[in-house]
Amino acid sequence: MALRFLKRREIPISIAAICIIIILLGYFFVISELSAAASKAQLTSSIIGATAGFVGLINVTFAMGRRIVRRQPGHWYFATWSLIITYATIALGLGYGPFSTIYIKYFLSSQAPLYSAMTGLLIFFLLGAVYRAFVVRSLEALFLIIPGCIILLGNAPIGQIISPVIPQISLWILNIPNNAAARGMTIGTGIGTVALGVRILIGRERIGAGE
Amino acid sequence: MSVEKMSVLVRLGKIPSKWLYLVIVLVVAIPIIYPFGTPFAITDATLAVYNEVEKLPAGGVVVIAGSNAYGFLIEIKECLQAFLMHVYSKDVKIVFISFSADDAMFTRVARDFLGISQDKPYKGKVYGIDWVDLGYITGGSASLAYFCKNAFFVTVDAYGNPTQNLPVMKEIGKADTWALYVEASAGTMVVTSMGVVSIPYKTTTVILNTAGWYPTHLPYVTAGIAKGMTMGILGGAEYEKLMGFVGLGHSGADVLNFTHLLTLVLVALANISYLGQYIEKRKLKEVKE
Repeated sequence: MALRFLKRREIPISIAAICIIIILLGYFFVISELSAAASKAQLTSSIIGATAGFVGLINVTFAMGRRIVRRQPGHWYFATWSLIITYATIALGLGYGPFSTIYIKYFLSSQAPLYSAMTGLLIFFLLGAVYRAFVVRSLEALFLIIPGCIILLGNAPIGQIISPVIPQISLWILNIPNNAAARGMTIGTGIGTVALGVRILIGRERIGAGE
Repeated sequence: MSVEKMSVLVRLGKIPSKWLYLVIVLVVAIPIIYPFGTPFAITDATLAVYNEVEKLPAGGVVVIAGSNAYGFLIEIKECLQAFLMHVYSKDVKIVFISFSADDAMFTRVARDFLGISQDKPYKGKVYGIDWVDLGYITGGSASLAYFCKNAFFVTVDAYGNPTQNLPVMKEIGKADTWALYVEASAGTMVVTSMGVVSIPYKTTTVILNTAGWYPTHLPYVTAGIAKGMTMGILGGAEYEKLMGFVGLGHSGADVLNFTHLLTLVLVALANISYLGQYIEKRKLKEVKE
């Protein structure tokens, strides 16, 4: 009976709504009790964030463990390797500390070069894509490609060498048309976030409640 | 159509990927191995970052925050190193805080490169008294919001020392007392920190950004919320120039030149090919008619 009550979706929605109201009021009104409660809510959120790491670890262990137990073709050896790396990282971090020489060496010889290489590989795909996609097939495409090329030149020192006007035009494109679009996007995101908050407040948003 | 029968124009538009990739490798590798030292000017946005550091009051608190994946952070490494050289030369208190595990490691690597460590003073700055690294804090925007109100929310620093024992912690105070807030990262956390730190506390803010995110975050600079912003590896080269030394940022500027020129050449080739084929088709159609 108690478990059934705890599983009701009203509970997480109510908690979220109360937290939103406290933080919103604490932001707009200078009331010491409200500010203290808002700070408490923020601190709790940080603690929950830290706890989420453990939940993630358990989740990864189960997901990978399932693949290993089932000997899923093409996956189980990657899953094994993933678990070994995960727990080796944790063991090193707990054993020696995240700023120990051994942990830093481990990070700099695994995560850092792998991630950098992965990001570096983007240049091949990007240049390949530019070569195949940046073709003036219509008037609209022309309006996209010309500013694109000007910004390309403006972002590299060579643009200044070719003509001092190029960086100026590039900056104008970034400051005026780009700014207009970026501001629109930022304001849109802000309104969307407020709308999401309102939906959570009135119980219309159920994702947080596990639905 | 077989490759032999393809006209030059068609071939221009169908360069095999393997050759394209080979050219990219050469274009990136050559300027790194043999830097050309292409001259470049300093942009107003980078100069504004430099000027904000120059204006720092004696004893002011500089909070350097960041959150990102290592692969993206590598683009702002040169800029961060030049920036740290500059900040450490001033009479200020420096606080590092990271909102991603990679970033905590990244700032450590940038400091190691300059020889800044907790064991020995760097430019007269002693760990715990003049600077502190609070390491990685989970919780993103909520943690940053709480840190703005109470720095002692972080109970131990990156090296495991209780923050209560570090004299520098007593000087941090609330975000409205910070002399400078530095967002040394790209991505959505920049937007978050503008909303959590720069706007409500009116803290002077500068951004060390990647080139990819630069246009997205530019509205914050034009609106005056952030005083200045550097752009990726070129921003690093510009800051190195302002600091009066030639570092890896300068090699990066050469790489930028070559890759951007290659991009333009490829766009030109693809369009010449397309236009040529279009004219050929039109002519063929006219002949048939």
